[in-house]
Amino acid sequence: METFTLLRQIVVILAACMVVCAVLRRSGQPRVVGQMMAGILIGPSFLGAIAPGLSAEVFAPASLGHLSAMSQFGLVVYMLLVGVALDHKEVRTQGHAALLISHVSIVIPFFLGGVLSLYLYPRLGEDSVSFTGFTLFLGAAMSITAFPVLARILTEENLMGTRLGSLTIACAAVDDVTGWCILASILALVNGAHSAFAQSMTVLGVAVYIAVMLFVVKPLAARSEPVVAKLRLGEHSLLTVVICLGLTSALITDWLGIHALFGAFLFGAILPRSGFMRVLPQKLQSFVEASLLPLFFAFTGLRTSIGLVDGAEMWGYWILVMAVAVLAKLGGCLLAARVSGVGWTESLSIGLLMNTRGLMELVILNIGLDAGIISPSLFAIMVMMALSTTFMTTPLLRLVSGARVRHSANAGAVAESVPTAG
Amino acid sequence: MVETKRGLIFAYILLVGAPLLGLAGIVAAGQQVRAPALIAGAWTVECRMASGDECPVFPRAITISQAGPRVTVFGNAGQSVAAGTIDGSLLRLELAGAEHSCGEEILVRISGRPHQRRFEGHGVAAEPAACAAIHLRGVQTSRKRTP
Repeated sequence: METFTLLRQIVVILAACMVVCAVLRRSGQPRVVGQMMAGILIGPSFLGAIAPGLSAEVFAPASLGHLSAMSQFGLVVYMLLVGVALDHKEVRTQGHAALLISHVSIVIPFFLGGVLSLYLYPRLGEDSVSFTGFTLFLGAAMSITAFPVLARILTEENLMGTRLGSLTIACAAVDDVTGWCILASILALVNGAHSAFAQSMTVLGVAVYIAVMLFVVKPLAARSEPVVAKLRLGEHSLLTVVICLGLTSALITDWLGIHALFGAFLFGAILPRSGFMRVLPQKLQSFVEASLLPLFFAFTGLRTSIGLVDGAEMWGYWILVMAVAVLAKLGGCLLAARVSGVGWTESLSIGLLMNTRGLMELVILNIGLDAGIISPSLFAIMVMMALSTTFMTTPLLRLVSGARVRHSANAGAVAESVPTAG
Repeated sequence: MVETKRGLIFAYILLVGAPLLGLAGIVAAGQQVRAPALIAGAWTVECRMASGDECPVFPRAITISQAGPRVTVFGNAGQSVAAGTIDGSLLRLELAGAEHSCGEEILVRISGRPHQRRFEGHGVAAEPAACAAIHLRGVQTSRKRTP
């Protein structure tokens, strides 16, 4: 019976994603927007409201455990792919400008998120979380950029390989790494809040873990190719080894008190970019994006009750959150890009692209909800903000950059190597 | 526009360093800011009349949903029982369908740590008798976060 329930849930979710993605694709929206929308539609905000009986039958709260586990597994594997897709060279070649833009695009949203916290904490916060934890979390949620969906948009708009594309990708990559490190620190702070010893052990543990990954595992992985060749491991066996090690890394970070996703991401990021690693994303990406990620979106949608954003006051909070999120990210990037010598149109385009929050925002918000940092009502407001900022990117980018830039000699290759749903 | 390395360092200090200092200031200033007490979840409630009899306006098992300081109290069958707001450690509740003929309102004080809350207070209800004085006491039995 459990298998039947789970399979039925998966069928409904995938069918909803397919339909919504097909509809939104006509307006040029990337797949991630369709999947996010589908998740909301099958949740209590829509299906639960128009057909509560059907919703309760298909998505009974007691039956969601397996769905949650599957969606988490998909997400861990997906983060491994995001780590693998991280282009170290791109980050290095764009140099100072990328560093300035990406750091400003993190720090200014953090600062404005802090200002917003002063207003929101007494109104939407809960006394179970400290002001510091709430502020840092809100800052992290404001500063996140959906690196993978951004890569997809750049590819679809034929901007990959242009100065704008390279600079934005480099900024997003730095953003991604910094954002996950910040989130790991916040989780250490919040999870260890009740004991200074537990907190210092988490911080120490994470520092040791990162050092081991960078200075032991990374060099070993770089020298592993001859060993792999000698052992004659086939692609399938190697794939199993990589997934096993990625999951082990995820287990370690989970055990350390930060999130499993960070471990998966870091393991992917330190893997060598040669040989089998070039084809790893192609082996996994399609299945993960088409079958497992929609489960995460659906699970997020099932936890999102737009009905909680009820009344003028709550909609007012949403408008405020939207305004701060867009002003901080878009404005911060625009300012930093201009200061770095980038033209107005390109600077605005960078700001628009970096304002895309996509899946990464949902991941962070779910972590915050699970950790009890944000309330369900603030969760709903932030999910709507994530959806809106992702939705607005492509149309506004087209408006700003006018005719598409035809400069896509390597766009196809990049599209294949970068996870697209993010 | 920055064209020299020194200019870039200056821009970095200004655009990254200054907001970071500002954030540190916000975190320090925010320690005085208080969030509403978290009371969302399942509760067991005891409602007594002045005579000591059980009063009918509150079911024994209730669920409280919360959005910031605003709370809604639901009965077993999901019916709305009362709604109100939290101000500090005080919860002011208005019973559903109150006609305000004699200021039907319940004022309870919240105590305890998050997830192990209690409340106790007095109020006036329209049932079973007009303007009946009631005494309310509640214990949080579980926390329910997701909608």
